[in-house]
Amino acid sequence: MMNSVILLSAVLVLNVCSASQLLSVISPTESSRLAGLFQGKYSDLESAYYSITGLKSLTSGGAIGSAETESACSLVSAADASSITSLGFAGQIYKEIQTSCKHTFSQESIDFAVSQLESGNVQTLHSAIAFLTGVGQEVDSAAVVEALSKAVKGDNSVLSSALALSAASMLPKGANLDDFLSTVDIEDMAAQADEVDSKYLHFENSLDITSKFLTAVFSLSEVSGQAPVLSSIQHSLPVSQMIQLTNYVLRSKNSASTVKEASLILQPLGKIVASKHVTLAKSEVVSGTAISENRPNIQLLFSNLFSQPIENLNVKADAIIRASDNDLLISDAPLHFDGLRLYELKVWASKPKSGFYDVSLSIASSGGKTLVGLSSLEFRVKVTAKIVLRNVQLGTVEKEQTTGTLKNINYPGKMTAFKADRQQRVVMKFQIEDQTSGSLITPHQTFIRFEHRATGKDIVFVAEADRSSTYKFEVDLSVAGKDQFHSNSGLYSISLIVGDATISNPIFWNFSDVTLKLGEEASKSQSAMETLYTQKPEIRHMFREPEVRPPTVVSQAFTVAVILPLVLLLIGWKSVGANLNGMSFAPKNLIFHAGLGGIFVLYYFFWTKLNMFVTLQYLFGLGAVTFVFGNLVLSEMANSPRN
Amino acid sequence: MSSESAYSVVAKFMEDYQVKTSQKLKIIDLYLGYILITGVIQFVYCALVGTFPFNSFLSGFISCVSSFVLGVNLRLQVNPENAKEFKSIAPERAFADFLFAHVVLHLVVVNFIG
Repeated sequence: MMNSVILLSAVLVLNVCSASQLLSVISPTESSRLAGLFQGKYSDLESAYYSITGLKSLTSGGAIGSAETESACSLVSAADASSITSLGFAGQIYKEIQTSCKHTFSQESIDFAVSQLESGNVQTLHSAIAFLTGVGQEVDSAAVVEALSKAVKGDNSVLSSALALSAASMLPKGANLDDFLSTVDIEDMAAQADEVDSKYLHFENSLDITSKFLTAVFSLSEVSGQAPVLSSIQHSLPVSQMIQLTNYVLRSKNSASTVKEASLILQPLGKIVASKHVTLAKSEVVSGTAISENRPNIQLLFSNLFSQPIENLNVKADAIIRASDNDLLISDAPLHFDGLRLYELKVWASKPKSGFYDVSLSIASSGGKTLVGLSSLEFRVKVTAKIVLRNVQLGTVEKEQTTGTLKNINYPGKMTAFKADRQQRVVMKFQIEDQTSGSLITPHQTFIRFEHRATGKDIVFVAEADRSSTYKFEVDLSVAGKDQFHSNSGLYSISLIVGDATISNPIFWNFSDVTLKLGEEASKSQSAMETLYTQKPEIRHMFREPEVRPPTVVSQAFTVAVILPLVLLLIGWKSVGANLNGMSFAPKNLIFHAGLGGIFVLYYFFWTKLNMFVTLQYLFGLGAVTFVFGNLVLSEMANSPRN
Repeated sequence: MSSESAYSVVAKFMEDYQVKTSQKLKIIDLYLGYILITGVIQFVYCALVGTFPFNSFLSGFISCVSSFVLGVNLRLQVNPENAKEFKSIAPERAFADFLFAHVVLHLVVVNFIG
């Protein structure tokens, strides 16, 4: 025992650097929602069991009401003595409520349970042990442990191993579990789990198995007095795996709707919070990102799985360094616990210069428990400052000259309006001072804005500081008048705009008005940006124009013109002496000529009505006829004596 | 003879033509002339009013051109002076070919004319 304490102390500051972090905790609202599921009369023994164990796991708000106790008690009394599972539930419920529930279990049920201690089934053994230890009956630990080892050897799934571990941890202290633990190796079991995203670890994506496993590991640790998580100690869980298993269990905290689910979530969490060896913490920077006169301290909250603050932590600020110039503000400063919830460090008191600071903290446990899930923290804070304007001067300078008359203005006053025209330059000088440190600063945004009163148009210029952090701003109106002011003369109000992420009182100060005379109005040529949003000409869809056709007269005239040569041909043929004297009106001749004519009539109909397929069909027929008869006619002609 | 002008050449040609060409050939020549004039008129029309619809113009014009070609072929095959080259083809056979070719030509022309 001493050895383990020394070992633990040695591990105090030396933390197992795990990539895993606790992703969430049970908030008070979630806790009361889950507790709400456990209220009311219970309908059966199993839901009574889960509700009672769930309520017992909560560190606050988990009191078991009288209605619940009564309901549970009556269910326990009516437990079915022939079912070892029911007896198991009944025994565990009875253990929790025995002060308010008077019930004696019959000897039959006890004998029955004892007989079940020889079973080879882990579930049965678990229920039997749960019942007997719950009612305070003595059991032979050695025999029971042996039976458990045998049963686990028969069924070495993670669920049965987890149940066996839970059962073993229910046995009275002093039982020798070494042999048993070599059979049921926690590390081996953990290796069977599946990792998701290096954030979650689960067994077969089952809340039941994962929860029971985690609960079993911690129950065992309670009984054996050894830490459940340290990779250097035997029979324990690696830290990262424990955190990932917890993350997985927490995943369903908002979707759990049955008492069983809610109880399975709360049981391992309750065991972890109650553990004497481990502190599982989640950190939160309560003071936010900004340090200022109103918020002068960095405040941190470390909460356990039920959002309760954790005390007894050594939190130390290793360094607070300014990001822009690596200026070390604070180093090696411990944070003080305010007695209630928060660990605080005073920052404003060190009079920091404004800017962004990187804070690195290291956290260690001081109470003998191992701190898990948290060893160092790094985050950024900004220190904001109040600024003050100094030595503000404004005036006009003639174009050729270098200095002119400048008047002093006191912030937040206003100077009398003045005039300027194209021959002059408007000049302004000022300094910006950090009120806390008294040094001059150059914020990110320093603008001079001219607003044309009549049109509302504004022109913004950037003011730049020289080496000594004095801002000098100049507008040469002969150039700017055309370019930026677009020759819009008239009354302008000038404002100074100062802003920065680290300034807590940004300035927008209308310090003067100026009437600018900028010459004749330039033609209002609108820039592309200005015309971007004006209304564009409407586009109308234009249907395709039909092609231009010649006038009807022309086309008809040419139709006639094309027919005309035929007439000429006939006349010509006549004059040459062509005649139809050799024409015979024999049937075959007639049919031949009719066939030919028919083909051309068919072509006319093809042009007007028919399609190619139909035409071809007709043509085939007509063509065949014409061919046959043509053959006859022409061969007759060929064979007749030539004239 | 160099003193002969183009006019006298043409006049002689015309005279010879009238005398020497057979009636059959003259008939065919007139036919060819007719086809030629028709084609020219179609072309002038197209040049005047534009090519829309182009397929119709092409169809008509090519009809004329092809008919002319077929007519020339017929003339060649029917001309007794060329009988030596076309021994196996009787004039009637040439005419039958002429008709068949026209049937096919006009099918295509009517299809394309649109």
